Amino acid sequence: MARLFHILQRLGESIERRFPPQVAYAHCDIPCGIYNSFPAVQAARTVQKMVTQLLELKEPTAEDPRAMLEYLNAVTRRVQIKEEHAQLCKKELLILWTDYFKPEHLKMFPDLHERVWNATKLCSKNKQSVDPKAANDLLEAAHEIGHMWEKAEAAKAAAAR
Amino acid sequence: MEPALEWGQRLLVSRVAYRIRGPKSGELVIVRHPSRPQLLLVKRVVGVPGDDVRLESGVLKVNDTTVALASSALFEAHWHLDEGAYFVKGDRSDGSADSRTFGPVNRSMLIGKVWLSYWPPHRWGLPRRSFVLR
Repeated sequence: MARLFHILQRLGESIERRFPPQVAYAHCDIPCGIYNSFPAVQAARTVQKMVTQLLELKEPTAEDPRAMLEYLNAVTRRVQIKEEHAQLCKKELLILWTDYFKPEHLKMFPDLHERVWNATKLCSKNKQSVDPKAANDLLEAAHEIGHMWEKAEAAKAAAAR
Repeated sequence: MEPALEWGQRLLVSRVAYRIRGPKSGELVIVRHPSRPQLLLVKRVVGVPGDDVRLESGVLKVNDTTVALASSALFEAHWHLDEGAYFVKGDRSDGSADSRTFGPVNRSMLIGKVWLSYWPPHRWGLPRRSFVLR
């Protein structure tokens, strides 16, 4: 059985030398080099949505402990999601900054460092506050970095052609 | 793509299958990465045209049915898959770049259907159609 396996393996290897198979990847980790701005933008969008919903919540006016409990629960859930997604946005932006963007991208985007720095600061600001302007600014900043990523990808694809 | 596939596994892919009919949910496919077309990925179709796909707090739902448990993708999103749009996903939710990160893919990006696994010998056979939680 082991001998048959060995023969088949040798046969397969010789066939693959003549007709090498195409490689398809299953995983995404740093080594495979797949990056995307979508998670950062989506997280920023979620932060904005949570801020909008928090501002729309109405505090119960009557002496109703049950309604107050429901209100506090609704606030807590949205604050928690806002916190998580602001952190996720920061993480995704930092992955793009530290792992995707290379020194040559600074020629295309001289203000790359400042934009990422400002965007990640906005992530923190959105954790600290319920501020529609900060949420809109974060989404805009994530979009801008996303556009930079798209341009860098387009340049890479053009160079490959 | 574990447990369906392991690293180094050899697959025969049918490039004509999807000229005859559309991809079906649960099938293993070879798909081009949308922003890096030279990069081929092997993924599983979990959403087909007409489906509603939602990402809510790390849970992926197709037509309100949870098909994947929590992943690193904590963001929220909603897609209604139009004609020609497919949602693909790796079987391992924790280490996969798929439609949860790059969005639905167009049918033209689906290169073919994984038809047969021929190496290593203990993996010989037709791939199981679905490992997704339904």
